[in-house]
Amino acid sequence: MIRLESVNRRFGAHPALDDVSFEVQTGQTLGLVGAGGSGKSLILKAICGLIPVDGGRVTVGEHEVTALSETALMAVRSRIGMVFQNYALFDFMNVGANIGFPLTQLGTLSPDEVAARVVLRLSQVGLPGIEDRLPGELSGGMKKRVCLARAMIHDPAIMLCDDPTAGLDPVTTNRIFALLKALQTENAATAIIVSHEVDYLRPICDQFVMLDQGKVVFQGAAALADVSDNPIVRAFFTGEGIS
Amino acid sequence: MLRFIYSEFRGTLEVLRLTLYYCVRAPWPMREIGQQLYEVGNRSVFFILVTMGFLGAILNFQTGFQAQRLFGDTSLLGAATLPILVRQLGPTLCGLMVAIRVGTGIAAEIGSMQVTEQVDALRMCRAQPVDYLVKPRFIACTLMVPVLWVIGTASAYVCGMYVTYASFHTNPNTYVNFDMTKSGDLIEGGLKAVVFGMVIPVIAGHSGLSARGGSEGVGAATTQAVVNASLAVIALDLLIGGAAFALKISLGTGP
Amino acid sequence: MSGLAARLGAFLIGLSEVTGGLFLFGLVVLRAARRPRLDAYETWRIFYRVGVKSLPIVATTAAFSGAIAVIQAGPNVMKFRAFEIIGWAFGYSVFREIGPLLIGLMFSGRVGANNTAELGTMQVTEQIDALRALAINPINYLVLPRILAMVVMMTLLNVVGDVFALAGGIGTSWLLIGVDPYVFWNSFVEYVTLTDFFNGVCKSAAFGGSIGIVSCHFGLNVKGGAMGVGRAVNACVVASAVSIFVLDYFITYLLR
Repeated sequence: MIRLESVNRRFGAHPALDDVSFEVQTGQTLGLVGAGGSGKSLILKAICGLIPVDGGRVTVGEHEVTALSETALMAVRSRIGMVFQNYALFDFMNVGANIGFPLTQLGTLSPDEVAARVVLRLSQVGLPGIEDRLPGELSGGMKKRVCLARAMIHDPAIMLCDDPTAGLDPVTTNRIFALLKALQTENAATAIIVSHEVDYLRPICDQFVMLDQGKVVFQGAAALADVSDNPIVRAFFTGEGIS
Repeated sequence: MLRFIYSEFRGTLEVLRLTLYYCVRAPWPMREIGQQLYEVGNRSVFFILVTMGFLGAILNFQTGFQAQRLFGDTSLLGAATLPILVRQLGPTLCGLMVAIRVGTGIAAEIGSMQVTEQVDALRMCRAQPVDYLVKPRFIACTLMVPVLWVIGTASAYVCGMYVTYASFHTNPNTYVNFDMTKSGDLIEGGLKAVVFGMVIPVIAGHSGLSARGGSEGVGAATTQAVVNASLAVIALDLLIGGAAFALKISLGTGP
Repeated sequence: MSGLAARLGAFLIGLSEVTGGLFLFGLVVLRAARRPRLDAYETWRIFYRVGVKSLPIVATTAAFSGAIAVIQAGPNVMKFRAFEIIGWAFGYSVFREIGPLLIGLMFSGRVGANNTAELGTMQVTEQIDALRALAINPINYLVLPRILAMVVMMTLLNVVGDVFALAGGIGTSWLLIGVDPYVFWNSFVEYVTLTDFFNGVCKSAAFGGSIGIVSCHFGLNVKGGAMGVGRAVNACVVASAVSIFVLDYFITYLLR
């Protein structure tokens, strides 16, 4: 379970997150949508404790993330798999080392077991046999899938995906969302997917949260958003113009 | 302005504290340190040889013309320039060159990892950025800058020898004269080299880790790294030089 | 063995490529400078940024370098009780050599690196191509004002820096060696000539020009995103430092 209670974050005088509260139950998938710069990525980073918040509380499972030290956060983070917006593949390591890195850092498995897991995950994301290539040699869609494989290598109980299909063609987008759904079902994971591709999110998300300029403007199922009183929300979900 | 300087200073001290903490408390990644030693040492040595060689030539030119005008004699040129080279120009210019060559490299590398979220990804994988990125560079620089100081000073001395031979016809045998160089000069120069080696990667690492935004962010971090590191080298040179001078006077051995 | 030879060869080819590229770029700039069409507003903005923004750092560096020169001359001055030559020892080394050198290196870090980063960002975000598409010559619009600003401002900053260095030198010799500022000033005025001053000014003008050409060249040739900008800044400061030392050597030789 992930819970945010009146989380605030400001840059100078500009509020980036303004009193954000919502909750995701264990095993559910949340679609986090909104225009660019509305604070979606910040929320994901706040959940992992990668950025400090100025006020409010973030709870992941039984841990209160906002009250933990950097060392104590390690235990929480090892249960989270994060897909970064900019791939964030380490460009000084090859693909195999990249994907295996979370496991090598945990240090519970032997190198051979890690390598076996890497091979398995790579074939799951449809990229078998590219362990020895460097991230710089891959296309955008391939990088996203490698990033997905790395995020899910340790079967995390929580999946956070920051715009996993930004700038990708429709075929690859479809494939990545199907992959996300499959991995989420496999681990019975709690997932938050940031995207603005509402139509792709509809079949895989249990509920939606929409942000506008750091504020939560909608929370609930997609069907409710289509008939929302707020024209901004309705426009975002149905694609109709704001009158 | 003052608040900016203060926050920069505090951030850098925090990185220094964490680096020292991880140096003591966490294992040393030998392969990574080896790579960084190569990066800092082997890949800067040509640059150091060239720049310090020119420095030695310039120093002997300038001093030689003066000596010729005032005393009509350049036989003590080698003996007189060596202590200055060893304790002051050698470590400082080597430090500046390392700040330029290695400091910007560190800031560019860590900065572009920061803006492409690779640093966040490291933190998600239980790896602390300072431990994982700054520590190996810190160890490598601390070990390598003194080595570069020796090589650079030697290069400057040898090029100076050639210039005095070519311009003032001073015999190399006369030029090579260690009489005026005291052990205190060696200690002062070595201390400076070690301190510069410790300070440069910390400052550059801090600049890299505080990079924000895309390629502008990396550019700004790199610029900031070279300016801050060079200023730190010059300021510490003054501080250590002044302290050594005061110590010599209080011990009554120097002048 | 062949691996070593190949690497040495690759290194030398890379070196020649950079040197040749810089030389050709210098020629292109010179050709454009025959009929300069400077955008007045852009030029004014660059002058302001290059000069005013780097003043604090140059003043600090200069004051430090003055103090360092005094500390280094200190032992000999005290040994021979030759307090009346300290102003000369200071003025000669700082005005001719240490001042322009350290200010040049700092300037290349502050302004040169910044310039490469800025032009590099414009290059990777296709802003340079956009200028070309609008039939604006990037050499005239971007490069010329920058190089001009660096030559003029580096020269002026060196003059200002000399004043700060003098203050640093007088202060240090007063506090640390106990030389009366009056004695220092007298010996400075007595022995340091205008030639020493102009020698330093010539050097800083040359450094300004070389930093301008080097930083614009590396900025306009950035490839490959954020990492590319970082690498270009690295290459720019390294090449600037080498060019500063080489020019310093030849100017010292010519203006002895």
